[in-house]
Amino acid sequence: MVKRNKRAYWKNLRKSISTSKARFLSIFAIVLLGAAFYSGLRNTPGTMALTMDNYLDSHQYSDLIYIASLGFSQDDLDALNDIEGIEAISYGNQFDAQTLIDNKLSGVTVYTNESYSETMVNAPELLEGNYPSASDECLIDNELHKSGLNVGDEITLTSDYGEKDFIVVGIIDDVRYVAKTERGTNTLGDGTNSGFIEILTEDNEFLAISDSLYELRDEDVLYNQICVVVEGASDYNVFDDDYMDYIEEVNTKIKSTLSLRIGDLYEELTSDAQQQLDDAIAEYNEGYEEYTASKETFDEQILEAKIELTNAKITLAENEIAYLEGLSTVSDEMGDSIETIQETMTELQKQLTDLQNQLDNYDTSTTTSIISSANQIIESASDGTSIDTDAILQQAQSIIDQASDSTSSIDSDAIIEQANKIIAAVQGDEVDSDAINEAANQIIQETTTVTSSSDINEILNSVDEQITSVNEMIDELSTSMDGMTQLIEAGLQIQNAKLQVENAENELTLQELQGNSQLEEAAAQLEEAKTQLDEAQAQIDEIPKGKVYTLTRDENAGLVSFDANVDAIEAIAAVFPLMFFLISALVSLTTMTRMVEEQRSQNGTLRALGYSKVDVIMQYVVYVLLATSIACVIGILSGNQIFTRIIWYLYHLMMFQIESSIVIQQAYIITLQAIFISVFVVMLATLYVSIRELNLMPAILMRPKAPKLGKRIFLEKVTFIWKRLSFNQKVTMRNIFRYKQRFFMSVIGIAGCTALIITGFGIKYSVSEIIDRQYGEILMYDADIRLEDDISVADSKMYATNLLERSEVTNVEYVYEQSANVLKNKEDLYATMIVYQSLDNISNFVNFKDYKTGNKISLNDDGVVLSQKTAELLDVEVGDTFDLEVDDMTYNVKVEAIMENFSTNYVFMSQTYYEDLTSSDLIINHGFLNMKTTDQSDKTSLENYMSEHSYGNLSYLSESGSEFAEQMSSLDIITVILTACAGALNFIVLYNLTNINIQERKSEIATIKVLGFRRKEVYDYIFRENIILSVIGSFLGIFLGYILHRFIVLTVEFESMMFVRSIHWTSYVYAIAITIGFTFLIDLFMRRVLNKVDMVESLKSIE
Amino acid sequence: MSNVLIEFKNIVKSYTMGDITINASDGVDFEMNKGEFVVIVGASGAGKTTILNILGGMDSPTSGSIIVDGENISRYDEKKLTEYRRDDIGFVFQFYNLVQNLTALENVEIATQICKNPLDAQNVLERVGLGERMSNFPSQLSGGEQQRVAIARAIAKNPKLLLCDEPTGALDYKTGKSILALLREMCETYQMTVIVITHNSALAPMADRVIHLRSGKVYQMELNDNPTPIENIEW
Repeated sequence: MVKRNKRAYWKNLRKSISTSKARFLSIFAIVLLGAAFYSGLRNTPGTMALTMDNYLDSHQYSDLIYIASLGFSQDDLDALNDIEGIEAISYGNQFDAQTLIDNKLSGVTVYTNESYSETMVNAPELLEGNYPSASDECLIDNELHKSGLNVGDEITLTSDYGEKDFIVVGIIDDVRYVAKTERGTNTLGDGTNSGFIEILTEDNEFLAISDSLYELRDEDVLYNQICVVVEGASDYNVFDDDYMDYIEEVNTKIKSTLSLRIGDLYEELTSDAQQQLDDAIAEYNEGYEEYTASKETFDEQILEAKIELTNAKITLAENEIAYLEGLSTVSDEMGDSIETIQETMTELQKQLTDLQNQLDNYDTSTTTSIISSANQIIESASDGTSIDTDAILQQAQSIIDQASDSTSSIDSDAIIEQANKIIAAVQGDEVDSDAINEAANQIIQETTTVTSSSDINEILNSVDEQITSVNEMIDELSTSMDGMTQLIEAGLQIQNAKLQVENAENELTLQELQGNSQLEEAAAQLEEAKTQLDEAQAQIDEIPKGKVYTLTRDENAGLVSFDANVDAIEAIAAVFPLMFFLISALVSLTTMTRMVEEQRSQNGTLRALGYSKVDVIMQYVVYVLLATSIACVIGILSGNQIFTRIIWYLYHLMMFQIESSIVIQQAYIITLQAIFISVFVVMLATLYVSIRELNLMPAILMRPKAPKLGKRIFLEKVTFIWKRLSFNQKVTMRNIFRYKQRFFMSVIGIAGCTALIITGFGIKYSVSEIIDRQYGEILMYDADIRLEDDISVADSKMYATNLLERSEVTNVEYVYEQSANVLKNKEDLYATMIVYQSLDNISNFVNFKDYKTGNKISLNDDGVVLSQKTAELLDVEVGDTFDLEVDDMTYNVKVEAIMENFSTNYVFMSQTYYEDLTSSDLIINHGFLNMKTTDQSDKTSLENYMSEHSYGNLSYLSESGSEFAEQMSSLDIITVILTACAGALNFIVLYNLTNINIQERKSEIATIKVLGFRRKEVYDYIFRENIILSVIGSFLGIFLGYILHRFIVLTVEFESMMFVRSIHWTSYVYAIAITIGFTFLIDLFMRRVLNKVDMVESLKSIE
Repeated sequence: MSNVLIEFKNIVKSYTMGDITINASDGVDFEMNKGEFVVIVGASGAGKTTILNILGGMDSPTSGSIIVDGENISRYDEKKLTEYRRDDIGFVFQFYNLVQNLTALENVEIATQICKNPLDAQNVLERVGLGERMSNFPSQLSGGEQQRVAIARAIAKNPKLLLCDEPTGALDYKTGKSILALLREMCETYQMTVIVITHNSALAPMADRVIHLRSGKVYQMELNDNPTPIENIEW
């Protein structure tokens, strides 16, 4: 082949481009957009990380920050000099302070530095003003500036250890605070932190470090913070794992050095103090022993005295008894004696009288005559048979007479009686001699007795005897009188003894009291000593072990948040642009296929002219190359600039205050992927089609391709529908289904774009809806109460009662809120445990809605209510159990219900369940509160009341909600871009498909025009198909969009956050409206093209 | 009353290509009567297509006037021209230009549904001899049959003028003849004015009126009081 021919060939190619500008441009545009979007979005996460890394590196971001509770001395710092791998080091102090900003006391973190320069570690970016040169000058956070602080303002910083006035000399951004919102927490005030302030170290140490720490460490210079820039760390991206591995090496070295030193320090500090304390304890113990000993002695002595006293008392009592006994004996004896004496005396007198009488009347004749009479009787009676009864009677009468006259001491009566008996015995029928004898003897005996006792001597003797006995008695009596006197004396003695004992007792009591009080005093002293010793021990124990904390990237809230954002974009960028790109590749492929088919006869001519197959194919290869590769390269380059810059700009504007130029990542792998998809895939498809076509003989090629068979379509068989269609509708239906390839390509392309738009809107909804749902439906309290100290349940009830009396408050529930870890299998999540007191009341603050059914969960004491995302991550269902780790204790808890929840991992349980679980009483540290109104005035008055009574600090749910919304706005940015690009793609795809449709039916269009179709009829004829394709495509897109959205949402979800997985119906409506709207717009736009179709076309043969 | 249907008065159509202006029609004058079978003959480049375009309402002349049935269509705007094509013209193309996706009947109906006063499509198809093939798609028909469908489509519109552009151009001799016979027949059956534009001067004898074009002008126009039936014409 001659070169000139080749020129014609190239000219033909140029012409084929210029004659099909629309086609060329549409392929170009679609590939451009696809490649730009793909490359831009895929490179964005990398670019963001790279830019952030560059920013950090350029400001000497400290890879490692060490904070020591005991501070670092100069020696500690010097010890680090020997460690390899440290590029730069700076030291200063970090402390929490409060200051008035806009009339509100706000927490700030203060950093001190030796000096300020642009090359220092963590160099602040000066936005306005100068670096401080005097110790009372400060730099302020740009966020504080936004809150109303300006250069030249004077502020007072109040820390735990003092306060000082500073003048603001500059406004800065600090590399440690890349995020606009993340300012950490403050140990002062309500715990919130508004920003940071940087000052010089000199003369400001007192604000940061307590005097006691200086004393403790016995140092003049102390720092509590060291910032280290690791050598070579800037070669790594701060967000890569490699970076962490790299700095960990240096960290290990530094940390071990510091820990070692701090460990030694602790030993040193504690050993001195412990020594002193030990001495004191020994002394105390000695004192204690002494005290114990003296207490024992004293007790013994007192006891002895008491025993003695008791003995004395016993003796006394005995004496008293003896005395009393003596007293009674003596008086008895005396009574007896006196009586006896009196009796004796009476007796004696009587006897003396008797004696006198006897002496006076003494007469012996009577007795002798009585006795002789009696003897005569006895004689008379003893004669046997002839008893002289008269003699006896005479004798007996004589006895009676004599006895009756007798004055002697005989017993006259007895004698008379016996005499009478004799008389009786004689006067009877028969004389009883025996009875007479007996009676006579009796009379003799009687008379004889008197005769013997009336012996005078005997009587005298008896009187003597009686006198002796009376004398004896009188002696006895006098003796008794003596005993009486002695007893009275003894009684007096006993009285004395009693007084003495009483005195002794009183004295003893006094001694005991005195002794006890002395002992008590001693004990109190000892007690005090003990307390002091305990305190000393506590102080020693309190001497912190000197912990050294290491802060790395992972502890920097701003960087962590940035990283999370980057991850979120990455997750979206993983699927969305690929789908996007595939659609664009699909459409350009369709276009090329059409082109090859259209140019069939031209190709046949070229082949007939002698051009080789390769020549012909090359023409398409070149065409595709030109269209796709240029578009692809421009797309990759521009997309990577435009999309990344837009996203970065928005992030920068809204979330991260980084005064650093963007460093755009151009990952070769992404570039290769983009080229592969856009150039090679389309190229391969084109080659396939053109080779297939050109395998035919030139002669066949030159003839028009046998027009595609007209066919009855499936719908015609559904006669009841088909019959109802108008003629035009029938035609449209036939046309739609005539070209299956075009139909599917169109539908897939449109469905894909619709799906992308749905996804875009869907993500936006999923994110923004969290706020409404979480902060509007699920959390229903107005404010959250944070108590400074833990309180008991009883106290909380009192608090609640008092709060409920306030007019601002409608309801309150105090709870225990505690961070916890939930564990199941290998999953280990951070969660918030909330223990509520009342099963009924808690539902007024939190809406427990079943995650599946949406029904209200009825709370019970048998287990916990778990948030949905948490349950998903743990893979637990209702009835399952998992481990809950609180305060280093692990409990196995049962899931009673799973609630719908979007933000934070929650574990809710009742007081009863908690107390059963932990076997400890519930404490209260948090609360929920509902207000009547949330007017500022109500808020302020309630806040004042609560802080006055230490009822806790309020933070309002609406504020948390808007904070959350701010954080989530970053995803909003992305979705806006996604949706806009999906819309653009949708437009181009629709344009391209419409264009293809028109191009390949030019002749038909010309024909109907010639037939006299009016403009509108022509439009309808063509566009009705487009509209139907759009409708079919966009409805199919609903399903595709649902799937894509769900996939992306699940990928993007963070650990502690669940997106609203559903898509609001409006998203579908928007997407369909946009697709169909664009279709109409394009139809409008393409009318021009239709109008331009020359009727003369109809005269030509079909090419 | 005048029987004149069409009157071309000094029609000039010039195309400007760069600096050069070419007069495709360079003052064409002719007239024809209602119901006539007219053949316009000319070699390639004689200005046939221009006449066809202008007459078919697809283009407007640069100057001059065309009176069709008393209406001057040369100054018609696009909209009026569309109505003109719609109601007054039936067009038969060299390549039939049937819609491939429609059956024979539907191809006729696509034309009839837009006219004011169409003929019955089925009836016309029967007239052109395709009563049995009405539900066939073009690809299932031979070239001649397709052209018959095209003619049926043109006639069914019930136009004032049947304009045929090389109607036999894509057909073999025999089929071409039968198509021409059909056209002649239609002209008589429906009293329709038929204009056949062709390069083939052999067809001239079958026409009532023959217009010869050469270099954009009417070179010669003749009336044929006794046209030769197409069956007797050989070429």
